Amino acid sequence: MAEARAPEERDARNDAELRRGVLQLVALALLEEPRYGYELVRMLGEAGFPTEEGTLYPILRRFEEAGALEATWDTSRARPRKYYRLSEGGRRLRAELTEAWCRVRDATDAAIRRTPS
Amino acid sequence: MSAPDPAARIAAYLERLRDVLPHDRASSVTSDVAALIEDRIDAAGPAVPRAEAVERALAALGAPEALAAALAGDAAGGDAAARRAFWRLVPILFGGHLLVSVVLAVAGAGTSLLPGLVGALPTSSPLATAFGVLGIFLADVGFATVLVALLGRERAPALLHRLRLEMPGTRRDAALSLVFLALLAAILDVPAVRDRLFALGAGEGRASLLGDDALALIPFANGVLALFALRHVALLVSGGERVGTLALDALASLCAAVLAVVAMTRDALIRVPDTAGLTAAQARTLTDLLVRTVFVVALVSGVLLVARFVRRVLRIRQLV
Repeated sequence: MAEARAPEERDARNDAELRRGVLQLVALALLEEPRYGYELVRMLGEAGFPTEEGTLYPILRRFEEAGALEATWDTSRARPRKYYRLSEGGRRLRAELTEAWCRVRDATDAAIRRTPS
Repeated sequence: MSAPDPAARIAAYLERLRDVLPHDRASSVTSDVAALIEDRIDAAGPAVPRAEAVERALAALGAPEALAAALAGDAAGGDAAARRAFWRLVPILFGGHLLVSVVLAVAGAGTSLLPGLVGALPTSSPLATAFGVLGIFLADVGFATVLVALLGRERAPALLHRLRLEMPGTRRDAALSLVFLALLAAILDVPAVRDRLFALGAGEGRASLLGDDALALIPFANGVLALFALRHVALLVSGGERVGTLALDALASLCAAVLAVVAMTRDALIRVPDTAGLTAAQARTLTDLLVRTVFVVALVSGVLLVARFVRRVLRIRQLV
C-alpha cells in the first residue's frame, strides 16, 4: 500500500515545492475583486493551489503592509470580515511578477527542451 | 478527560499568538486571525461539530509561534518570542529571589544558603541594600539568559505559555470575595469578635493570644484588605479583567506580601499567658508552636502573593 502511494506522495510534494514560488502571483491574480481570507484559500484550492491559512495569511499581511493590497473590514455582518483587494501598487507588482514568471517559465521550458529525454 | 471548550481553545490560541507578536502588530494580527478562524468554522457547516471545526481551523493556521515567525520572517519571529520569554522569566526569578533575600535579612540570617546567590540583603546602609538588590537583579538576568539558552528559542516561549496570566473574574466572584473580605475585616476590627476567637481560658482567666506586634499590624492588614476590596469593586463595575483591576490586584498582592514578610519577623505576634490554666512551660511551648505555624503560613502566603504580583504585572505588560 505504502509502495503504491509513494509516487503520488512524491508528485504532491514536487507540485507543492513548485507552486510555493508562484503562490504570491496567483494570490494577487485572484484579488482584482475584494475577497476575504478564507474565500481566497478556497479559490486557490479550486485553482490547483491548495493552501492553508497559515501559509496565505503572512503573504496577505506582507502585501497589505507593503501597500500592494487594500484591506477593509465589512462590519455590516453579524461578525466583521476583512476583505482584501489589489491597490494600484498591487497591480504594478502583479505585472512585475507576471513578467518574472514568464521569463522563468520560458527559461525552464527551454532548458527542459534541450535536455535529452 | 473532557474535551476543551472550543471558545477557550480559540482564546488560548489567540493569546499565545498575541504573546509572541511585537506589541505594535499584536492587536491587528489577532483580529485578522480571529476572523480567519471564524470564517473557516462557518465554512465547515452545521454538520461538523464546532469543536472539530475549531481544531481544523487552528490546524490550518499552524502553531502560533510558527505563524508569528512567518509574519516576521523566521529569525526575527523566533528572536521576538525568545525575548518575550526572557523578560517573562526575569521578573519571576527576581520577585522570588528578592523575597527570599528580604526574609533572610529580616530574620537576621548571617549565612548564605548558596554563597553569592541566596543570602540576606546587606543592611549596613541604604546604598549597600540598593547594591544588594541590583546584584540580585543582575544574577537573575544571568539565570534567565542561561535558562532560555538551555531551553532553546522555541521551547522557552512554549514552556512559559503554560504560565496562565489571565485573571478571569466574574461579578459573582467579586461579590463573594467582598463578603469574605468583610468577614475578615469584622474578625480583625471588632474587638468582641477578635477577643472571642483569639483567646484562651474561660471567665476571669480568659486571655488574648494576640501579642502587641499582632495588634500593631492590624491597621496595615486593614489597608491590604481595603486594596483587595477596591479591586473587587472595580471588577464589579467593569465586569471583567481590565488594566485597572489588574493594577489594583498587583498592588494589593505586593502590599500583602510585604505584610506577610513583616509578620514573619515580629517577635511578639503571639503570646500564650500562663494565666489561662497552663503552666509556664506549657504556655512557652504553645507560644513557640503557634509562632512557628504563623511563620510557615506567612512564608507560603508571601511566596504565593509575590507570584500573584508578578503574574499581574506580566499581564499588564501583555495588555498595554
